[in-house]
Amino acid sequence: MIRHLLLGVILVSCLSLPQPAPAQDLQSSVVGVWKLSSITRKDPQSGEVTNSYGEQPVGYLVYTKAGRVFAFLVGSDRKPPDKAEPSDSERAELFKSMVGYTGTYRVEGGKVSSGQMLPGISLGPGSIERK
Amino acid sequence: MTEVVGNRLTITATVKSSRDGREILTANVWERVE
Repeated sequence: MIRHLLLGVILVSCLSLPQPAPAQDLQSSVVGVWKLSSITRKDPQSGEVTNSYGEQPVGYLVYTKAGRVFAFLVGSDRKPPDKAEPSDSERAELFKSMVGYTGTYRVEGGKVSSGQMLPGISLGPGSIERK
Repeated sequence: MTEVVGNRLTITATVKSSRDGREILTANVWERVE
């Protein structure tokens, strides 16, 4: 009896866990505003995982119903410039700790794909080449 | 690849390292706010 009760509890727990959105619902499920939680990079050879933009990066991602996407994020270790007008070296350091892009997206075959990205807008190291 | 589970959206991708050209797996995790 206890065993059956335990199995029932486990079954109900599993059914109530969040599940991936079905492909047909993916379009509607991505639309909205998303706040960045983490960015990690994994080196497949060494298996090393790093927080490439610090422990607490900040950023937002917006998918619109009309098929546009906007993203901007910055690392948590950014040092503000000493003056209102940053020096060239400060600009370079600030550039290294940010990512921004915008363009269109589409949902096909259960996958979200980048469409036409606005030229010259995708900024930040490692932000442009997405497969 | 983009996956939505509950209020969490995860984007995984393969990018080339700007340092040495090696491929690196990235995972960006986002939480829905609106």
